[in-house]
Amino acid sequence: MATEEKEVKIGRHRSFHSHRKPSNLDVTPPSSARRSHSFKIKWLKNVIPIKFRPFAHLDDDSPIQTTDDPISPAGAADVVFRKITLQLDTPTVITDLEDSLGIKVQFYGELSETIQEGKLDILQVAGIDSNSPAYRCGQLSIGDKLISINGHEVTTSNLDELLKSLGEVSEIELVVTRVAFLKDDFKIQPDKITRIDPDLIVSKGDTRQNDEEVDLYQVPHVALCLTMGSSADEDGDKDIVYKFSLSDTQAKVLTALRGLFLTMSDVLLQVTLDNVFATSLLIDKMITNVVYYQFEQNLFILAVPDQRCGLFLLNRTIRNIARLLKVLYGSLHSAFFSTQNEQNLNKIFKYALYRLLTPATDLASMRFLKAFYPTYLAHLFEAAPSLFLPNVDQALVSGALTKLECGSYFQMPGQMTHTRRAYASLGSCLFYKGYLVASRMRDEDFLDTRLLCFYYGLLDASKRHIGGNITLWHKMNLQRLQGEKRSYGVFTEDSYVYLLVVCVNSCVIATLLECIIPSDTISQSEADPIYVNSARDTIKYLECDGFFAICDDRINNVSCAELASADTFTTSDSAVKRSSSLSASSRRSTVSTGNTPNHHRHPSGGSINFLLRSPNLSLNVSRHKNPPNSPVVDRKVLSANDDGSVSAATLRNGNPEKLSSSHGNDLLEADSSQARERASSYGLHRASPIVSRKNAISANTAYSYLDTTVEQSRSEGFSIRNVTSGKINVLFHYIGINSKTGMLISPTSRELASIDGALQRKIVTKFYWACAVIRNTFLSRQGQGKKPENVSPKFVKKSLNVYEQGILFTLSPERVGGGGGKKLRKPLRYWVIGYHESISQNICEVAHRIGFAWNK
Amino acid sequence: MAYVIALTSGGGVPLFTRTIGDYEALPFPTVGSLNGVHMFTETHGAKLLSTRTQNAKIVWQVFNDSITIIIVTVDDGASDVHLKTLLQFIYNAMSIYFLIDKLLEESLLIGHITGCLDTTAFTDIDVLQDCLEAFVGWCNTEFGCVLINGKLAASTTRWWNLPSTDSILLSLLISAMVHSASKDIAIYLPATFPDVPHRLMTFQILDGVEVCVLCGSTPSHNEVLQNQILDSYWRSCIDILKNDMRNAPKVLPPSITLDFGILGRKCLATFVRALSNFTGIDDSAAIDMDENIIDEDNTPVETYMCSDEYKLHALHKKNYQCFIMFSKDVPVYALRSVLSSTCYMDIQYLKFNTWVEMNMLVRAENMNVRAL
Repeated sequence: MATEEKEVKIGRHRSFHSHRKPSNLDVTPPSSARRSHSFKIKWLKNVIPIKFRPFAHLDDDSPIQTTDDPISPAGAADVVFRKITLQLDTPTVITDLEDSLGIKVQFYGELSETIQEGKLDILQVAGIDSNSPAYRCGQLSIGDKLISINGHEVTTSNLDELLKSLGEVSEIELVVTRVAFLKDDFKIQPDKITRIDPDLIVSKGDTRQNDEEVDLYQVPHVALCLTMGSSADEDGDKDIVYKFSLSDTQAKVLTALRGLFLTMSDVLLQVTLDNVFATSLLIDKMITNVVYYQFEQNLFILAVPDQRCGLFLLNRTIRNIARLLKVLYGSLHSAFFSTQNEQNLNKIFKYALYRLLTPATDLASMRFLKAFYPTYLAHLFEAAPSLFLPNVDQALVSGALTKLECGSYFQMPGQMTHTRRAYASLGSCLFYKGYLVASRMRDEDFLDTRLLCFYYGLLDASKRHIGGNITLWHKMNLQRLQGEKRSYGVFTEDSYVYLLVVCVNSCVIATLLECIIPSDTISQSEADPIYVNSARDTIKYLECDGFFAICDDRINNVSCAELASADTFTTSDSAVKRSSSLSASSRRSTVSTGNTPNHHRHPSGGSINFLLRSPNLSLNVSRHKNPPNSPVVDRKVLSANDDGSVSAATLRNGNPEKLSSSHGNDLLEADSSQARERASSYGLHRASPIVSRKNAISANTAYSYLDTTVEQSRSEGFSIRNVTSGKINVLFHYIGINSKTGMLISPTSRELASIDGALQRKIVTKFYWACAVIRNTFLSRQGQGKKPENVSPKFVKKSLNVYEQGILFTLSPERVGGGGGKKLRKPLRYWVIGYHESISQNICEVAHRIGFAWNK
Repeated sequence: MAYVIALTSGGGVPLFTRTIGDYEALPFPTVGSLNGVHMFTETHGAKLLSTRTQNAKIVWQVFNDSITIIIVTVDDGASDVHLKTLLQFIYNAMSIYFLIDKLLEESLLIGHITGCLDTTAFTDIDVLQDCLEAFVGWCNTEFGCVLINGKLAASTTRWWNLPSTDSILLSLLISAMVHSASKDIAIYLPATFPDVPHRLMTFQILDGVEVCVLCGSTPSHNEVLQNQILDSYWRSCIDILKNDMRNAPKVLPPSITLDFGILGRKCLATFVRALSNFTGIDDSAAIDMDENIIDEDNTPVETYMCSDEYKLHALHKKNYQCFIMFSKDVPVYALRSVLSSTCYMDIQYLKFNTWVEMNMLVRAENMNVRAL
């Protein structure tokens, strides 16, 4: 990090020493001497060397770095100096940069730091007035740093003096710089598709034997893209546009059955007047789920055995993959029908199928994925794990991102901005070690961004500290703005949005930038250095504030949970057991195969997610949405240039119903509805009701608790006994879950390792199961808001509008106490209560509910 | 809201199609395709189980290797178990179309969903039971029951011991038939006597109250109707029945007082087979309560739901299930105590009931209650 810090400082305090003699102007010469990096000066056509008065304190004769010098491995920066001549109409005495030249300036750098160093010296162009000399010359950009005026070094302190000394002039010569640290980056070039290959991740973390791994693929599975254009009866497999499978033999049956999928998508439209969604097949005694995604005259399907991946998760996966492909290639058609994409598609599907086929047990047993457990699990196909920070830190990061999004520029009048700024920010988000720390994007945009970050393996990289310096500049086909014409002052065109991801060590900042000047005037393949730099400055700023130390603290604190998908706790072996036990029961031998595991897994998905915390920590109540007065909302409304932005603000103020109706796309809706459904759980230590009560009140924005009590069931009455202390009594604690696409609750890997008893596993499984049921109930509530599409389905799901559900289950622990085994424990009773966020909760009632289990 | 299609498994010859709800019947080619995909899958050594669309669900099921039944209906969010059970009932009721329709329609009878026979409580059960025993004796049979609004109020031991499939279907059949003073039809009981036809005679002794007997060739239908046989056997309980019917549906013994917040409840106790009571129910409301109980180990003991209109609480104990619908004004924390006290009263009441039998076991795989 030390190098990075230095570089940023250089960027801020760079100046010329003399003609062709750039010099390092760092305020701390000793450290500058230590620094190993060098400058490379790039002379542009219109940049000429100039002389100016050197600073008094910079009389050191540091060695001149010329362009011929080899670039040191530690990295070098491209410094672009640009000389700009402003013509004035009439000779004038310049008193003020803005009044006379039309340049708004601000000092550059973080206030705290610069004040500390007693320097407020760098001036930065913050805005340009229309019809001013600066505007007319057409070369000055917002973000440029002012180095000199008429050959004189300019700083905040000497600006007025300098201007006064100029006297009456008819033209004025400015030297500005734009600095970019691009050379030392691992730059990801989208056209070359450099990826941090997930294979790498898998092979590093996978400790299993190879034969086991082969075994993994010995189940029917396939990813297929079919076209309805040609008939399956024709020769061979003309209708197969794309096919991927980890094992060809296993894909055979499913491929042969493709006629079924095509027929199904066609016939069911006539029968039910809505689109086919999933099919369950029995292949090799394995229930195999097939999910469909229709586009144009084509069909994209994904098939995986139910015991490996539930229907819900599978459905979500296919929609996410489809979305990712749209983001990458614009449309599914261009993704599948172009042969040059094949290699990339293979990579995507390889990873997706690998993930889906890996038995849940393996993921749950921590030996497999310890190193990157949370990121790995909560990746593309599931929810983003979030890191919850105290409000003050949330405010800090939110402020930093706001500053980044504003580009440190003053807000300009509308007609002005487009002339100078190439991009407008659509929002940004920050990840730290794979956790989402803050997002100021809309949910939809965030989903797109996360998919792409995942695709490039950035989050995994940052998790494993191999982030280094990565810059990604990628044109985004934002699903929200698909094909939309946007107008920017004078011109209108298809919206060009770029994703800029800057990754420094463990921190990843992703910003969506919308091009607001005619797209042919800018380079599309390279990141604009200005924006890269501001992202880095933001990271630097946060680092200076000790922000990442706070994050680390949160991550490493034992009582702060790691996050994982509860999906992984539905073990496949239990599904098998269930399936077989049912088959065994003669009464429904025909029935069992079809439904049980299927349903059992069906409502799961990655979206009810669980976080487990230890007992004593729950003071940091996570915020479920930005506070209404948060800058996010204000800014979004402020810069609202279409209805969408306004609705985003509404959303953030927390009206989920409004959200679902404002988005037509039902694919998204699935995700956003999951986001609505915040699940959390509560663990009650029976012995310490006061603590619990306190938690309850602080948790009134949380959504469910798991109430752990031990109760003795006495005939028909319900009497309660105090529980003994011990881990089983404090399994789940306050859970605050927030992420853009779902929430997670789970034990930390550490905790799970220590409570690796059979009982805990059972409890987790049941808890998961109960959450899945609750979630399923809530989903039907969301379904209500769905607008009918072009066809109105014949059958319409009834909606019960449940906003709260509680499930009580019991567990009879096995004998404990080793050899003697004389003690048979009392059955344990657990309440799992979930409630929908759209209903505001009465704190009193919440408190009462915690007493629910022993309320007589 | 459903399509039911039955075809021969081998040739795909349509046996019947039923369309419930205001839909056009499916055209033949579509039916052919629906069956075709199933057969196509089998030729590839796989088996088509179910397919979902955004709102609907289609389940294929083959019975006896000879008949394929396809059902297309609303996806109720429950597991396939529900539909498969329904298909089993449809298969058992196959030749009786109006019974199939009854199975698919929403009704107050929920036996085919819970797997428990719908019953109703009666104030003076002894009198009714005596009347029934006497009448059945006269009919020279051991099978007889009294249905009040389709729900079992009293029955002979043999009737009671019929497999639940049969008794539930019988109750549904009787309530689905066109109401007339008396009927005499031939039926097969799919579980008990799949091959032997039996006579089912029903007599309406009051509006909503039917006496049913399963018997052999004698006595003839006319015999029963003549000579005031019905009158002589049932006179003693007519007044009580009338009184109860007037108070219907609140047929609760005076010892039980319900909490004012309770809109409806259902208590199913396995040792009495089932007891169901509903009081003051809003007919328009359809409540689904899905609990998918995979196995014993995963059986939730209690669950509650709060919706915009109601609050529901269900209790599942070893021997009984109890479902209560509360008004939405009842606070959540009170649900449980109200339920346990109500349930406790029910159980106490049931224990004193004369025809308590402990030998019935009700499956615990899926209680999927549609309370109306």
